[in-house]
Amino acid sequence: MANNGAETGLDYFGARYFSGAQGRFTSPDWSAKPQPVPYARLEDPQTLNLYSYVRNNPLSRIDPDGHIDCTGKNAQGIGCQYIAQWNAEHGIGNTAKKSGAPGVPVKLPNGQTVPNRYSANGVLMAPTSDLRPVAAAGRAIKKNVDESASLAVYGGYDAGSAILGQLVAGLATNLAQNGDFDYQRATFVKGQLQQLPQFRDVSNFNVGLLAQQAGLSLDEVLTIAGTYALLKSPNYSSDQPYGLDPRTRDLTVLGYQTGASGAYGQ
Amino acid sequence: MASKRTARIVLISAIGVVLTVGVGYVLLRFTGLIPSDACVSEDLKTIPNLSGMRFKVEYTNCDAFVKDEAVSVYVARADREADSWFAKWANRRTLIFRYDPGRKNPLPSIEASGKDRILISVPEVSSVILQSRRWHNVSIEYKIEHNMNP
Repeated sequence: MANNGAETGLDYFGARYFSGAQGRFTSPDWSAKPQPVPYARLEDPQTLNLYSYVRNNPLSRIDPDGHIDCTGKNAQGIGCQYIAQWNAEHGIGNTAKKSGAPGVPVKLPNGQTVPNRYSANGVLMAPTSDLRPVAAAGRAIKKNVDESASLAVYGGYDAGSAILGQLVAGLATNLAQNGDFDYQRATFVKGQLQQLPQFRDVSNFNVGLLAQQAGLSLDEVLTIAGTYALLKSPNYSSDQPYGLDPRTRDLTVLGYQTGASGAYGQ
Repeated sequence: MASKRTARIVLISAIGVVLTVGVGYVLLRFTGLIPSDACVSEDLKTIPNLSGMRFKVEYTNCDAFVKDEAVSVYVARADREADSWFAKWANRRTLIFRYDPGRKNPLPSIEASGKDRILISVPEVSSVILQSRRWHNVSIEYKIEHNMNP
């Protein structure tokens, strides 16, 4: 595999992403149409609308691991099935506000677990052990951005806004609330959100990992995160670097550093 | 005359700024870039009357690109009837303690430790976001057994 997303095609990601070896974590629709990151078009502002975009585009709503929108066919995703099974075994209805499903240890492609001092058992826990789809989605964003930049060079125009739009849409679709890799929310029944705060750490890890693979610098990731926290979270920690509490910051940085280490490819 | 004109300019400028910010905010909310439902809160515990004070413990989990959570302790006077809008405002709750929970998330315990003294205990926190030592004439003490990020 070429290590640079700009040098590899989406088909390749699809082939790797949806290879038989990883079939357990792959949904058929995703496999049939490997387009993990939707395109943002500035001439159509709705494509930048975090919510309508995600909700109106059935491609983007397919969560390969099924952790987030567990309604409809997404319920067959491995993450949704895990949480649903745990709920059933513990008498928790899928319309309950919370699920205590503890998850499974995250395993890097080399088989190692990820130490996490904020976890009761000392390792990073998630609804699924495989975070390769997160990294792949990040690389797909980078590929789109690189393509826009290349087109701009050849076409002699400024692609800044298009690149920004793709970044915003890609990050929002994958990481913001109800994003595909936001593991701390699940919607088993439309309109009824189930909280999974036990997956907060891995969700923040995903932010760092995906953003690193998408080509952002660590400072950019933390600045974006801090800005959103300032706008949207009462838990914003004004006296902390980037306004992020240490736990959130640590896991975001850990995800970023794990991505930068080459654990998921470059 | 000049001062009137200056005041008018300042007033118009202020209205312009407020309108611009307001329209921008509404636009961002409308497009979903600032969603209104980023956080989920739930009441964990209410102590209706402890030495004349009402305490409420609230958990808030937010999804603001990164994900954060916090346990907040609010206090208000317990003996005040709040019929009118003004009375409710005058007896509005005050945030005195907010922390990011640690590896486990047990409820904080709140007890009176003396006259006009309150003790809030929590076994472990990841970090403290806000910590008030005094509320009106009440001093607030804390017993945090383990702070992971002091």
